[in-house]
Amino acid sequence: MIQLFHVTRRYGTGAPALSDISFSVEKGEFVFLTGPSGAGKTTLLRLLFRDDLPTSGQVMVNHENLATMLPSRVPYLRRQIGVVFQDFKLLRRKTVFENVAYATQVIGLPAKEQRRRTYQMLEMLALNHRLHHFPEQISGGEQQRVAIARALVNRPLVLLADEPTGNLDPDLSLAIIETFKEINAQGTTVLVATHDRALIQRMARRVLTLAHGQLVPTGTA
Amino acid sequence: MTSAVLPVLREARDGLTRHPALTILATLSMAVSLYVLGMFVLIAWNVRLTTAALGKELQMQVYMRPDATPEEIEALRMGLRSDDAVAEARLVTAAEARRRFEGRYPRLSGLAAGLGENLFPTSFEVVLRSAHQGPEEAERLAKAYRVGPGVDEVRFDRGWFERLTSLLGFFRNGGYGIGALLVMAVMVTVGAIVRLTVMARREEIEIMKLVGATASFIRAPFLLGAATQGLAGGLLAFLALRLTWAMLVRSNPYRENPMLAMAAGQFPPLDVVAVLPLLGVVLALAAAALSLRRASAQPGSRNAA
Repeated sequence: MIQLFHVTRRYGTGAPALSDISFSVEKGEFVFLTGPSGAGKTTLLRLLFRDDLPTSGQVMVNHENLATMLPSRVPYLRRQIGVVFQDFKLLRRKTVFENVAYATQVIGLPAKEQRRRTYQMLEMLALNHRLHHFPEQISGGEQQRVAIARALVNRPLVLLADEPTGNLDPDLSLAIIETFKEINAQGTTVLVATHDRALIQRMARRVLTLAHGQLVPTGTA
Repeated sequence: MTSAVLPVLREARDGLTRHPALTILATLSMAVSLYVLGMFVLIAWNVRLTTAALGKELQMQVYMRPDATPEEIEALRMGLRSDDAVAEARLVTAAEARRRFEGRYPRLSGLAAGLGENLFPTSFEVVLRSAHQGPEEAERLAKAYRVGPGVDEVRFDRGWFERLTSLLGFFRNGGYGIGALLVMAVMVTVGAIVRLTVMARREEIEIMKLVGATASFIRAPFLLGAATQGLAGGLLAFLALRLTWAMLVRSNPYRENPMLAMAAGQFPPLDVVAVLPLLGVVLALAAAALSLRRASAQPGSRNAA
């Protein structure tokens, strides 16, 4: 599902943010990407949803080479990839319902199907009581669940999460990761970037460790 | 088709109504800018009418000899009619000339009767086209017609020609120059307002891209919103202009000052003032399109919306 071949990303003339990274993630896998701040986790995730391009090397997602992909194809790639950010990235001027439904509008679903999927996803994430609230009116944990709902409403092949529990308390963090587990159990490939060691150890999944832009050999936590 | 159009309309509507104060402020700013341009259009239109009327004062008189034959008169008439430099050539018969003289100088009408018909020769009043109204051009034409069969004399006031063409040229060139400056000012103002509006929603655009929205899906509501604001601003400017003109022509200063009448006596026709809402829409669209392109450009990636 995800393959990186000797990927390097360099900004300017300094040390590369990523250096000669090669790994693959199979369909249906749940993988943690860990490392200290500045290790290159976010940079790597940005390459995977084509928000950035590698300086050298190849990035393949669902058999598509992202470096040679036409800009006009990028939106269609992103519809297959759900992305969850540490800062949620919700549309402030839209309600909870509208934020999630927006992702279904983008792919041109009929209005009825948009509503059905949105309600279903929000119910799954226990957000029924927040449908008409704006992001600023709900808690951080709820905002993160809205972001997850938006990322999953179109049933993506891959879920990428960049420090999804960074702003949450431990109990909530665990609940979020458990949600990811359920999603993974339904067949979605999940890659979670986090520096929360406790969480990683608890989940006992494959771990990729980055340090100074390079992959450190490691196994399952 | 409907399922694609409705979300765009809704997004455009939401973009305008979510922060009504900002929308109103932006629209009013555009309206003010277009109103100033509209005032110029009003004045320029009226000055244009006045200069056109003044242009008709640039005449030369071609006097025929008393013994000029009807064929010679007709030949000259045809020649003047086919001349590109001539806008109009009016035949003034001897009888008409006499009637004009007696109308202007009634006390001298007895004298005219005593001196006979030859006192009032047949003539042509020739009005030149605006492109040929220069004194040199008039001189050239006078020279050419002076030697025509049956022609006795060609007269024009060179000094009057020079003064009037200078004045008309000033109004025309000055008008174009001021008009160009005003249009540029409107472009800068409307462009800045729309750009600020788009830039304020830059984060939103980024998020839309992240969830897989195509460039056209993102742009369409912004462009529609900008066009709506430009149209509203232009219509407001038109209404304000109309109201200003209506109040002006009923005011005492207007009645007492002929210059005001010259500058604003008539309200331009609809197809002229329609430039205000049209310009509002065009400029707002252009500014929005440019701003969206800039807002979507990111260093290190090729994901322009």
